[in-house]
Amino acid sequence: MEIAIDSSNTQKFTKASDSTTADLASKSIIDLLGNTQIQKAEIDGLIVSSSTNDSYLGNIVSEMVGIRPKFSTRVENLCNSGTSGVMLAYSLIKSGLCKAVLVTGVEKQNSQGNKLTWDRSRGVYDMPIHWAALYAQNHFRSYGTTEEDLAIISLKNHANANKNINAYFYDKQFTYSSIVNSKMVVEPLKKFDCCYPCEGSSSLLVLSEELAKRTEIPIWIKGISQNNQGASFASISKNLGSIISTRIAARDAFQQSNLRPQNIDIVEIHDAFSILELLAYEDIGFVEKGQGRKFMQESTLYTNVRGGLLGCGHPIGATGIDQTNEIVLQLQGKGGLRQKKGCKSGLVHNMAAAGTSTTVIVLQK
Amino acid sequence: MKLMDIIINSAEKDNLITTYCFSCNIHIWPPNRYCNSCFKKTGFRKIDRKGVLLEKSFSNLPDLIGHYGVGDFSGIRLIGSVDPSILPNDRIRISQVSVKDNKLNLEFSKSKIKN
Ligand SMILES: [Zn+2]
Repeated sequence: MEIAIDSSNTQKFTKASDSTTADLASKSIIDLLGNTQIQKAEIDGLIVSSSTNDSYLGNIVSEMVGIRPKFSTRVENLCNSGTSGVMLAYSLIKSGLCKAVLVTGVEKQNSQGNKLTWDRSRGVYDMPIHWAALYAQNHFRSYGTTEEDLAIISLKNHANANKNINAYFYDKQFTYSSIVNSKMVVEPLKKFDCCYPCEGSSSLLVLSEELAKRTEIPIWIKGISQNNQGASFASISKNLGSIISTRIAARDAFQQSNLRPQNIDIVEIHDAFSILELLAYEDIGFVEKGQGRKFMQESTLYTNVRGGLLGCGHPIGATGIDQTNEIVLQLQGKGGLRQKKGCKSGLVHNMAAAGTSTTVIVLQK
Repeated sequence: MKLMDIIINSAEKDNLITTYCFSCNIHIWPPNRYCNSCFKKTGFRKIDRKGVLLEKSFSNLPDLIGHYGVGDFSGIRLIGSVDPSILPNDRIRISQVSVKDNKLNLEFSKSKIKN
């Protein structure tokens, strides 16, 4: 049985508001349900992806939007929460337990997910930028990547965000000079090499083949995989040249889809830090290890058209859902101002906590 | 008592330890009550203070300004401040062990042993 994503919704990413986590999730679901051919009564699964510690969130949101699903829960997997929710929805439908599963990613700005308190192995260097900077230094030293290369990635994604009304930095114009000369935080990463933790919600509807055929333009999940290498930076820092979980998840997702990296037209990459986009080019397999900077200059692949985490901000649980929605919209031809022509196959890459966990989804029209 | 609290208390006395599997002969970090290879109960053991620097950088974050890096010691990876002259792949030693805000605070220096 084939499985598809039909409808999507994303609310504007903002600073902290008075809304609760459940308010934010409900608003996104209500707006999605207003734009789908699937009836509310047909929805038999509801998953809320979030790093909040709000209890019973799946059922609270179900009640708030008037759905009584067969299955409801909250999924927490730090920055990889959203795409973990998509994978659970896919599995529920593939198993035959459910036919229409709503997945909503949501986060408040002050979420506990912004800090991995469990990983005390980082000692006093517990801010995520400290591990990201070590990956960057390693790439610079091994392959000659430069601060200017990272600034080009950041500029591209911030410029893309200027066409995405939901992006946190939609209204803010950046220049190459403002990025490359921004304040150095941890060498070689500067202020605008780092994403901004914000508030937001985003939803999508995963459907069985039977239900998907009733919708206008279903986008088929051709491959979906995840890999987890532990939780601590200590568990993966032996090899700072690669994000191993990305390599494994991408290989499996491509195998399922019978597609290869060169068949992908558009990709959403987890760029919490600019260096992670460059590493992902290599670890997904778009280019050989060490050739990320060359790929960036020469490739025609559309990358982070949504604006990436750098341009959109990063509401932890919502990010993976909005990334997936962007590929769905682009393949449906509903990308609006930022629509790219001729996209038939797309890929979503989302990860968490120093690259210990990655999900890769391959989507096709 | 939580394992990490035992390690922090020990580090306050300049004694750097972590859990150890006496069956597999491996240090385990972050600490764990069971070895995740053989599932036998772990004990504590000193971490060898001699190691190799894997990578380094410079932090400008308040209270952490300076060079820092990740090193491999006894097969586990630890993060600490580093002497500016140290380069990746250099042999290093943990020259200072302390605790700051209930977090491990390590200093790495160049090892006297030549590469
Ligand atoms: Zn063992």
